[in-house]
Amino acid sequence: MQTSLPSARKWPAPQKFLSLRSWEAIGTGLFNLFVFGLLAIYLFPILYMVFTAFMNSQQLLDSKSPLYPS
Amino acid sequence: MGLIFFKLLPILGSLGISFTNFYMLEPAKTAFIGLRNYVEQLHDEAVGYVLFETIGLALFTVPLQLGASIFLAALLSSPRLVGRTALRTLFFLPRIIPSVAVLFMWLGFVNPSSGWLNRLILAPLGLTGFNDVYSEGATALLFAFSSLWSIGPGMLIVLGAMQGLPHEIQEAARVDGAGPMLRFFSVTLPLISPALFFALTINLIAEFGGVVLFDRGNTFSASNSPFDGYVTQVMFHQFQLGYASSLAWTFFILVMILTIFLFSTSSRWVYYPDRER
Repeated sequence: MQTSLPSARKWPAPQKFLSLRSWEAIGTGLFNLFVFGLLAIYLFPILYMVFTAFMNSQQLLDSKSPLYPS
Repeated sequence: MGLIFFKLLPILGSLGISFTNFYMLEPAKTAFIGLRNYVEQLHDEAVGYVLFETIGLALFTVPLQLGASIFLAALLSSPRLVGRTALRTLFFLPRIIPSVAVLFMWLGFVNPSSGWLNRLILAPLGLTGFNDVYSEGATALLFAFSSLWSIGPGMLIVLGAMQGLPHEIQEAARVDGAGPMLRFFSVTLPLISPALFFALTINLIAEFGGVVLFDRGNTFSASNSPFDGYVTQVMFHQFQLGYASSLAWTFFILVMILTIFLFSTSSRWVYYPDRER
């Protein structure tokens, strides 16, 4: 008995819309964006530490005070 | 000489003290009591509790740290990434911040009224934040993030191993039709398994409170280990140096058993090219 393999879904080749160079540039850009976004999240509490270092204790405890030192 | 006087002698001294009833406020009454401190641990409910908490924490954070180390190392080893050297330094940066500063920073960050977690992230999303920074949820988040902040050495070890892989093997796998995921899981990871094993071992030991016995407590070290904290409490708050020494030695032996077990299993999953025949 012969069984037929499920046909693979055929995605349109990216080269139909973009040149390979542009396709790779977009991929590299998105990859870099992801890594830098991850870095921003990872180091976000350090930004908090730097900002709070310039705040007085009254502002630190006030929930309605601005987030930057004032 | 420094190692002998400042490490080895105090460590051996703590072993001797663990067989005494040394009470720091009354040192003149110190007497040899044999194994009584060790027997007392079996009846101390706090020991069982902190041991359970420490193991639970390690089971959660060690795989998290290892996974994050591999993930970051894979990202940072990509030739497509701009400013790789600077990024490597920045991802390592939190590791060099003193743990006391990290602790207070995180307590401020998750503070329900003024912390940025609530004000900048959760509130705009319509989520309610933590009402108590000492609640279980806030503490779990604190532990998770602070453990992610200490992945620097593990990440560098894995990254170094990834960069040392010969390109020919990757190329051969590519020619054979292996995609990026298959190449990563079936070629890269097995080849860097010695580095993964080393990273796993140092993460595990660090999570259990380090191998250093008496020169630090959890407040002053990078450790979140509850057992480490209990030893500190018994020593610096209850001044029971003899009992604290015995606790530290029990913990040291447990960590040593775990490490030996890890080494004994390494031949099954760590690839050593020089052992291949």
